[in-house]
Amino acid sequence: MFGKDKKEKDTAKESECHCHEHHHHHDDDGECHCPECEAKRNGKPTSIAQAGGASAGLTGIIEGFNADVEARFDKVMIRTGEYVQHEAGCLLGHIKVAIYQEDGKGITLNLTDLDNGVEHHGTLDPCESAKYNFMAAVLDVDSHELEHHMMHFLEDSGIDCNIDQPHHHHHDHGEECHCAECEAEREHEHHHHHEDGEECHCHDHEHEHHHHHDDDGECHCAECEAKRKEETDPKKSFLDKFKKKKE
Amino acid sequence: MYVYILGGFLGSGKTTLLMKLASKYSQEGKKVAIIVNEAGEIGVDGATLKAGGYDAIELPNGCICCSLSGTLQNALKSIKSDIDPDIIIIEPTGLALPHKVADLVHISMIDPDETIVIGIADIERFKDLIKKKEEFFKRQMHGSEFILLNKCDLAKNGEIEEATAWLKHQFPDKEVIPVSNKTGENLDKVYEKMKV
Repeated sequence: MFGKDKKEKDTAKESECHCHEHHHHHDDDGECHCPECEAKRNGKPTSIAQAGGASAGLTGIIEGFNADVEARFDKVMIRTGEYVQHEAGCLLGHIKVAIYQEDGKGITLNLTDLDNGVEHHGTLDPCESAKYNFMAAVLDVDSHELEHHMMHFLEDSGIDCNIDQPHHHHHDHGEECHCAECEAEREHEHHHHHEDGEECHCHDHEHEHHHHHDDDGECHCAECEAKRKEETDPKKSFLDKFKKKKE
Repeated sequence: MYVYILGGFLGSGKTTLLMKLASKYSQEGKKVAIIVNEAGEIGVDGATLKAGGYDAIELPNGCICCSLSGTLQNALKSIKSDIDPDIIIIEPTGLALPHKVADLVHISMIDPDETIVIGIADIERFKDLIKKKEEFFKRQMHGSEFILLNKCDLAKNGEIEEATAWLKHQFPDKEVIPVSNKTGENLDKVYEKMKV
């Protein structure tokens, strides 16, 4: 980081992981008015926080809407409801999908109770493409995990659709997800983003580490820096370096 | 101008009631403005209302009783100046405290004839909600003029009586009306209580 100008620093910062941060659009005052920030600023919990509420949503376009897609969305919602029930003990809240065309005509699917299943409202004729909004507002689950699961349920459904905002993480290097669940799956792969000097202090480098480095692609952890310095030290002869390597 | 606030937990049937009320008043030739609020960035109610032929102002990503309080007041002022409706129906998120929304309407300088909060409870998940979030639910119902016990068409034997007794015990001054927004059961009683 040292010696870089501000622009370079900003670029490096952008490569940092924003897991668990929020990504709202802020007003002109530059301050974030999301419930969490408002709560922090005011020192009072919002009603959503008081209730232990969590919400998540996905939007996108479905290619080729028909009754099969509607039925698949039904299953996606049921899987989401089952996930919430498993996590929170019961499904308190609602899971909704709107599938609609440019003129606003469309259908709404609503799930509030797993025993009753998904309610379908309205009709939409088969069409080449349609927009969808898929949201859940429930209690006692982590909103990030909720969104993550919703995305995977939708991806696994076989519905030919895109997701406008595939949750709000920035996936570096090959679009890997750094949520808790994905992280756990990748044993020994840690993804810290080090602000100060890019040094990593975990695991003492007993294993190959997987940091996200700056634009120069080099690791700036203490061990790597020392190794590099040693290798490039003009005072040491080739023999010294060879001896060290052998040791 | 009358302002109705539909307060109730997530999935209690606020949007369905809103559509019934909007339909009723539109058929009567009254000018109706609708505000829907969503806790998350992505909403569905706006699309649902649009599909039903209603134009609604959507206020997403927060709660109008707290984090979006300023946004609500601005929206109310705009509605008053641009549309000047006979009725404004506000549907806060299912995690809002409706009496706080009513307070915000009072200080927004739109000068309504009356602001009425209608509390909606869902008979199907009544027990679960009381078990997990009793205090929050009580706060939600606190400022209601009357309470609708919705989805009574799905109630099992004795559930309506049990829930009504609990609500009457907590809120002795409030009338509790079992309704079904879906089947229309007892909605005539609700319309009778409306002041427009």
